[in-house]
Amino acid sequence: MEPSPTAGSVAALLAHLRATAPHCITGAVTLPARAARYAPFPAELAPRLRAALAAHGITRLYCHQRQAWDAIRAGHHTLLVTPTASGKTLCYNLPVLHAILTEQAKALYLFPTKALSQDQVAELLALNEAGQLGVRAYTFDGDTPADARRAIRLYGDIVVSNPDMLHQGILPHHTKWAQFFDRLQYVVIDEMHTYRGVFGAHMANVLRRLRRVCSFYGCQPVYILCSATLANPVELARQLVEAEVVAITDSGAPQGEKTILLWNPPLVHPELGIRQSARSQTVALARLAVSQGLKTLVFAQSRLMVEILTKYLKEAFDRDPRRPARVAAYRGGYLPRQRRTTERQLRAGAVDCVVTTSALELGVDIGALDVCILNGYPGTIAATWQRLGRVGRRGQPSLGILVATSAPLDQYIVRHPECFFAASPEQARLDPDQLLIFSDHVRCAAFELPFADGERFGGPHLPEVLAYLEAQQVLHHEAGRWHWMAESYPANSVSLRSVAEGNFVVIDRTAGKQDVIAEVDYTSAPLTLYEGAIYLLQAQPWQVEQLDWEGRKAFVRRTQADYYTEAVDYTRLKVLDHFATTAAATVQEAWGEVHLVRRVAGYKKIRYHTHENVGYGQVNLPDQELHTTAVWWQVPAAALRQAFPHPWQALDGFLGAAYAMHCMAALVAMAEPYDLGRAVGSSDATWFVTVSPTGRGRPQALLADGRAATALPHFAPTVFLYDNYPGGIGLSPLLYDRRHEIVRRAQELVGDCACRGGCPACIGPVLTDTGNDSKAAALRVLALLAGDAARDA
Amino acid sequence: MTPKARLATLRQQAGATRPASAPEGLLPWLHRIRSAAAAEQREQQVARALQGRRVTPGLIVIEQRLPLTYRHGRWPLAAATTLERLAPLLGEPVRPEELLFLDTETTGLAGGTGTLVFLLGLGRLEGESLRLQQLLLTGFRGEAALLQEAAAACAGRRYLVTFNGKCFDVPLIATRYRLSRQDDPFASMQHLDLLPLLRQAFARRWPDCRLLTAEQRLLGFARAQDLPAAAIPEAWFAFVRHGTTHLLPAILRHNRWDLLSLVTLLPSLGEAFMAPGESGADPVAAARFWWRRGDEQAAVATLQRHRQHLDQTGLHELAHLYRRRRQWEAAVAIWEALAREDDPAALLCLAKYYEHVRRDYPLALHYTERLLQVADTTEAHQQRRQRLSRKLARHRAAGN
Repeated sequence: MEPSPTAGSVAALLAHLRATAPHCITGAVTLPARAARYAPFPAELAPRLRAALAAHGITRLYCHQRQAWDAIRAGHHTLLVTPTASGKTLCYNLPVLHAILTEQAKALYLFPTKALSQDQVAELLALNEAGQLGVRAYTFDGDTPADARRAIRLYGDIVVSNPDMLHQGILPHHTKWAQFFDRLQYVVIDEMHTYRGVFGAHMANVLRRLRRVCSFYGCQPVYILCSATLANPVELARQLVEAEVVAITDSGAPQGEKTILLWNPPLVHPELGIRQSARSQTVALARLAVSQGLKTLVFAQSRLMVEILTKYLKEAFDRDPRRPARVAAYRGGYLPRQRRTTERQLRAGAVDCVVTTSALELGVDIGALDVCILNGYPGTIAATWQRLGRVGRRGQPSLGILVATSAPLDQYIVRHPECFFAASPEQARLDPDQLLIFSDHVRCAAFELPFADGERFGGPHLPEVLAYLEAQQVLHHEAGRWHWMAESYPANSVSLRSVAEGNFVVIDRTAGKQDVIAEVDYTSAPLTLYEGAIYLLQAQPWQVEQLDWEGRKAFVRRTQADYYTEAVDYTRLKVLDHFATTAAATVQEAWGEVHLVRRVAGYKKIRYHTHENVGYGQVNLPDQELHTTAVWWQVPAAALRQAFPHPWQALDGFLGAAYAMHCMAALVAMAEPYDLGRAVGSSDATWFVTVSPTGRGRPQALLADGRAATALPHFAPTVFLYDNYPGGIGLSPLLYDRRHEIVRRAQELVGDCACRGGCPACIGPVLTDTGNDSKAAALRVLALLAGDAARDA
Repeated sequence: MTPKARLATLRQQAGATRPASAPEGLLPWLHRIRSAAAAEQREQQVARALQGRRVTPGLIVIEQRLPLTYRHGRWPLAAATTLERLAPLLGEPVRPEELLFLDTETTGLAGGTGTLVFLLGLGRLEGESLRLQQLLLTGFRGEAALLQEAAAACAGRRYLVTFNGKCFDVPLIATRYRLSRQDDPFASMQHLDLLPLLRQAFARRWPDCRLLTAEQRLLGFARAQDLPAAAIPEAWFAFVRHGTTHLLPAILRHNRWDLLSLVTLLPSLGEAFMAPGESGADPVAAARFWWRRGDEQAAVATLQRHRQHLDQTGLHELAHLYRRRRQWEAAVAIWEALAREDDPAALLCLAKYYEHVRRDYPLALHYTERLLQVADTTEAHQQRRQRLSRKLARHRAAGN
């Protein structure tokens, strides 16, 4: 018999939770303990570096660190996919420092954000000091003072920066960096999985520009990429470096036993599918863990939520001001000194509980913790793993708890523990030849060095784009070369976070301020920034007061509204081209190019928690046109008649099915929901379905002449999911590849939802008094869309 | 849809505000310019019209010699050869033949690798004349030759003279040499940038320190029908793209004026520091200039000469110099004059002077009391009063 767990252990807490709240635990995964596997230092390792490591207590390597050394020193581009806290940083620091000490090499480290890069430099400096290596590592970003920049360019051995700085500050001034590029031997790209979608397409092109500049200086750096677990890390790495990579995936780092609980708060209103808030569950779980003496880390999705959770936990544990605080908050926006203090306290074990945002997801050394509680699903499985990986060092058992909110993805994830123990379903996709993004970077690249006729840069479109840019009067073709000939500095007008120019800025004018708080893509602006919209940033609500369409500005003010808003859009899609199609008895699936016209006509106000529709507003915005790529599912008229006696009943079901499929498509494509658009209608733009102002009771399906589309003899409704960017962003081919899976997962999402007639966690907000069983209709439509799979079943 | 047409559509859908269109009549010109023979003929024509010569494909050089008697505004060019006027700025004996005046016209102010120097103007003093050399690109292919020509012109020249060249022209030229994989001859030269000096001397006197302002106020030169600097890149683009040559003479003239202003600004700035009153320069700034150069004597002399026109800052500056030189009477005279107008700093100086130099505690206390009346009561002042009271008491006790 097992020895009974002692109080104060992870096992005791686990047993307690299993005994007292089994209904909340929707899944549990236990990862067994793993012993460390070591490998010796490479014989050629620089003695000074060896001594520095010894001073740090490192006398041998984990086997994956040695594998990385061998691959990198052999000159292979190397991809590291190992868990958080497995000593990934040393995998690249070791060869880089060695090359600096022995070959006067230089290295460029790229992190997606500024905060991360500062933590990295701190770690490098510690090692540097320990061994008195004399290696000069500097951060170079927007905060670097002008007088320090010259020294960094000339003398930096390791320059730590981010893609935006490389794009706007380094590449367009590469001649000032000549000494650096002359000796550049390694480029480290950490957090590779964040380079997907729009950001990824930009990054791929920034790296193309980097390679172009490198070859001007005659250097061919080795790329070292680090990624969280994905379905396709090698594919992504290849797309970024446009060369073969060696992947190292088998971690030799030791791991204590780790249990992961998926936690769904109890239902309080089964009819509507309303559950207790994740926040209250998180607080209760954290209190339990801390009171049992376990060091606990709590992740929240927003800075505001960090403050709220900290307040509740402090009320429980820090009531006596004379005693040192047991609960601390840690997030971006705090002063670096404050953050360093919290880090120190954590490492020393002086604090029992830290509440944080993604700021603590990686990099920062926080010592040994026992329990990690996630207040809400972080949006991707990769990020979930990174957060859970922050606890359980030193080979001790640890516990991670994912507490679901009522959002559809949260609800889906907690019901599917296989997402965590089977292969990751998440595919990071980028389209480096997205025409708008590509042409922006051709401009930037031409500014950096003239293009030569016949030069290769990215995909097949370079000659056409060059000709286009000459017609635009920014390039000039002469003697076989394409020269930049304009007064502007193109990198300044290219943001790596959006497609092309035309972004809207969101301006906060609360209390007489005029602060720009966000930028919104032109394409999503009509859906999120109409006058009256509740605009959410970091989970805090602002209300749009005024939209200046021509000036591309939205003026917002903080609000306490208890509702959120949802745009009601009329979208007509016309299929222009089929790239691929398949047909089954009840469904035809396709991927292709579409032209859509979208009008946002109004919006609904939906109260939080109860999801009541509490109002409706008019919106007056110009129609938007979009050429993009889409994947779609069409149900032939005959199959539809068999499943639904009255075709109009089906439309409600199509809307619900599309909602669920949209959520699941975002999951598999690691996309934000607004990266994708959805529509239900015909494939020739003759009619479309929309939600009526009063809810979804009477879906509209009108022909241009006002007749009901349901009367058409070939009434064949189609669900479209499209890339919500002009030209597409590479999501739809991925969605087409996984079209069956999307429908299957949508069936699970809706079928397993605890609500009765449909709720925002499965088929979207519904009215309770319509009498329609929207959920059943959605499931019936999904069964049709599942095609053969459904028929076989 | 072709990628090109597609790109135009997508850009519009992405919110691009500038409509995408090529100007009419572009293609015929492109065809003409791309035929090498036609290009050469064309360049020869342009060179003749500009009274220059086509050195190599893509590069026209225009040379001109002006006698030193030539006047630019009030100033004859010969002024730039009077050594005593140059010495203060250059700080070491330099022969006029070692100077190289440089001014560029570029395709923009953005900087970075995509900004081209399409016109490089150089000025050299040679014997009895100023030799102006303007290297003009007619396209990108001439750049390597332009850079070589410029390197040749550097031979024997030790001192580069520019206006804002430290921030703009010289880094840009360095970039062009690097891109062209040639050694940058300017990198090893001494560099005198006149803009910071102009700012030093006139920032508190003039609304701004642009070259045009200096021309009007210092050189007595007014440009007639000048092509504004902001219009220059576009004028060159129009020439390269469409062959429109009518603005080229204006570009060259603009650059020539820049160079002539550089040549005459050098002695006139030297004079401004030597005799600030005459040129309307700030005597305090001039004194500080000498002081920073280590010439305390000249600093004192400058302030003494403008004693009547000095404001409080200037008077304090002068008193400060007197104090350093232990010319106490002169310093005290200034402080006392200022103290009559309740100037706190002067009162403090007097309090210190009577306490530490003269050990006249009653007088020191007197000035401290006055200081406390006119200035914000700070702790330091209070302490001074207490200390003086104590010293005075001790002094009296000892005296009694």
